[in-house]
Amino acid sequence: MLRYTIRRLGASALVMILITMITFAIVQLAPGGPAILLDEQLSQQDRDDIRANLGLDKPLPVQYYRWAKALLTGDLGNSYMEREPVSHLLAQRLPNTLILAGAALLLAVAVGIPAGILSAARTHSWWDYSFTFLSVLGISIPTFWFGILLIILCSVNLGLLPSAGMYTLGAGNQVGDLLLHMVMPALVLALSPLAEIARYTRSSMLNVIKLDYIRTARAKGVVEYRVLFRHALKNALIPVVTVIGLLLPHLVGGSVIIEKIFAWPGMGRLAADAAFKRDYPVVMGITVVIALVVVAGNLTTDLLYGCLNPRIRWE
Amino acid sequence: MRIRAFLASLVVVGIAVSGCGSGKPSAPGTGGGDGGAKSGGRVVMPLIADPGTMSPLMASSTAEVILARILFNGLTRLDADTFAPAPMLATTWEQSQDGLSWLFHLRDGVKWHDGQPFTAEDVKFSMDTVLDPKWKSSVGKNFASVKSTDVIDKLTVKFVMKQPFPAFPTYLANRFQVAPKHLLEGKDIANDTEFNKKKPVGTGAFKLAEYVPGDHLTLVANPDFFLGKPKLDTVIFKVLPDANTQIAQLKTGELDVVQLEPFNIPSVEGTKNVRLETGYKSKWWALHLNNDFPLFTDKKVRQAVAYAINRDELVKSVLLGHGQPAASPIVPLIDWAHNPNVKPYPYDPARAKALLKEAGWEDHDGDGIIDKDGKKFTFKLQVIKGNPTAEQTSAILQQEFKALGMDVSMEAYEFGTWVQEVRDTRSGPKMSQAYVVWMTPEPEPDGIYAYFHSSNAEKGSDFNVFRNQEVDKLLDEARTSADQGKRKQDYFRIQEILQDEAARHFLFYPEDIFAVKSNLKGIKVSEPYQYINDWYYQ
Repeated sequence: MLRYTIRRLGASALVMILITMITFAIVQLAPGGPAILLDEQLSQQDRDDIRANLGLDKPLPVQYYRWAKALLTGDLGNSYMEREPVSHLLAQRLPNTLILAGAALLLAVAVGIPAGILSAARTHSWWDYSFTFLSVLGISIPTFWFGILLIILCSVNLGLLPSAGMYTLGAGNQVGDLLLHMVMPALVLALSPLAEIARYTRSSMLNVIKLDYIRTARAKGVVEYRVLFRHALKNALIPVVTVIGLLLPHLVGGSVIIEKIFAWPGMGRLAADAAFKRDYPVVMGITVVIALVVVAGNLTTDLLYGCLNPRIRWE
Repeated sequence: MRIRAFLASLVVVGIAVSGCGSGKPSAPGTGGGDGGAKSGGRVVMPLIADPGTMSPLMASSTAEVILARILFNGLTRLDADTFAPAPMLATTWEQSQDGLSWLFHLRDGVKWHDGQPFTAEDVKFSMDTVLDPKWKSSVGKNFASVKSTDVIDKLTVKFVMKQPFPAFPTYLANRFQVAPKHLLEGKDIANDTEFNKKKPVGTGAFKLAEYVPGDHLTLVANPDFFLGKPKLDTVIFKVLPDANTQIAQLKTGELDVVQLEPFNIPSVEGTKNVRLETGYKSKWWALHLNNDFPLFTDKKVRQAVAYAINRDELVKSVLLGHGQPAASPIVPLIDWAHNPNVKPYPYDPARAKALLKEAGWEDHDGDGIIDKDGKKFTFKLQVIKGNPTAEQTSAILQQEFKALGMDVSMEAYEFGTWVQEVRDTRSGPKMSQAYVVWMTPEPEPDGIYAYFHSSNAEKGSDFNVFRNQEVDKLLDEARTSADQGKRKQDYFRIQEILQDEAARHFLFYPEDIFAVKSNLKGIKVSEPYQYINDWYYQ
């Protein structure tokens, strides 16, 4: 197990380096430069000065080396637009994104897995068909459209939920208030992961249910819910855990549009703004965070896999 | 007395309850209306993005400029109806005989939000700072003609100019807000987070109480404001980047004021307790043809394009009637300098065809596309992605040009890319060709200098590379002349030349449109933020 863990850790570090290298290159090679250089009044001399100030006049490998060296000391650099350390900006925004992503993940797992099990247990029932239909819908509905639709329905027409933001202005930061504000964005964010988790749970359960040991369990008269939850679920969960691991980056990084529509003061919006304004340090800072989440997510999945399925450890 | 206190506490509880949890329309804290103007209440407005800085000395983005105009004040502000400079931190000002210096007399008794007195030292410090190349402030570029700023006494300041600049008080109104010397001297002006992000201290009608990045800014009334305590108690800016969300929040009553694009009007119409306020600014939309692009070097071709545009139709279908066809870069509101004899080109496709024929462009080979010397009339309309007005206008123009036998394609660019690869690439094989975009010159005829003087053709705002010696000469003369009659003559002539040359194809003057709570009054659309102290609930 130890060797397996070390090997996985090494691979993760390598992936991190590659991700940051590639992103660094892509961001810098994208057409259009930092927004601070877009002022039409700047002369070429001004532009060159600014570029030199920011270190953008150096060759790309040198720039990457400097950035990576600073990163190792915990310095992510300064935002061009906000004129603040990137770490400050991340500290402000990351918790908000994590709250939303956590709620969405919880929702997706808590609803998705039981729904998948139920679908598998009652294959080809009306429940199965309607859930299949809803899942396909959930995967294919564009989030920006669904988000606006929800706002119009729940806030504008019914007046049930606050339309955007994290807290009601001037009401203090109450947990209940936060939960109300979170309902719609978390639902929209959870929709597609929920559908995917449900689909994977269903097919994985169906595979397991066909196996001999389940027939044996049933033959010896074990009650159905014990068959499903004790015997079948444990094995059926392995691919589902993988899927959840793969969904993590979607939840943390993929909430750009949702954060914009619901005015959620999170990292996704910061990422989008920074990308449009070519605020390189911010883009890189966010990349590091998201890459860390992805890599950590995959690592956890791999290790959990090892726990759930002892055979994998000896590979 | 006891009953009043009880009632007051009921109101407070009412506000607290309505502000809690539910997203239902919350009363703006004013209670029911009894018809008259009342003091108090709060206004909630959207801000499209976080301000990168709240220092007026470094402001450049829309959000930053809005905040600078509320938290801080200029020496002057523009009269919202005539765009003439009116007193603000300065009460009177005069230009010297030779036009080479300006004397500004400052208002007595003005205090910064921290209680310190405002003096001429602050004005000098602020002007010196924005002109200091070290800070690369985008404010300073409007004041390149200022040679030095001298403090005469505590309440008098003298600007020494490199050359006469009669438009100076107008430029000061919009582009220059004074910052406190006692808090900023010796600081890193560009990066001083304490002042720029947390505790900006101004002289304005409202002061910053709270800023939650990415969420909202709360501004509270400054009781010592020199024009009297503002009528509203609180102004809240919510950071709401999405226009659809802004409109939804207007409908739920969570927002009291929202600026709209014309295409959003239908979705707001019919909303209870919301009315539209409209007004003109110094703003026009134009089709920019790169005058150096081979197809467009010929004046006849440019004129043909001008006749091919149906401006009335654009106003009707793109602006939904909220605007008027444009003929000149000096908006009609600046009535002393706007030349009423210069009329928009009429929509006349036949005339356009005839002009193209005169220029040698005809469909010789019968493929439906006009050509000359074996070369086809082919160009690109280079559109900024995500701007519906630009997109719709370009699509209509494309049809109108195609009807003349031109081969016009549309290419969309994300904004930053557009700026670099289109707007600022004005020569060479990849030079810009044609695009539709809006311009907001200073509300002073000199504002057009940046857009038409050939010194701005390579860098600067002469985006379509218009070079004309006579226009250059007239612009220079009018800029430095203290004689209003002479200036008027010069600007009238400039507008005639621009019309004849079809230098830029002015399309329309758009109205600014605000959706506003019915009982919120006193908003001046042409200059909303510098008059925010006059907003009130009825």
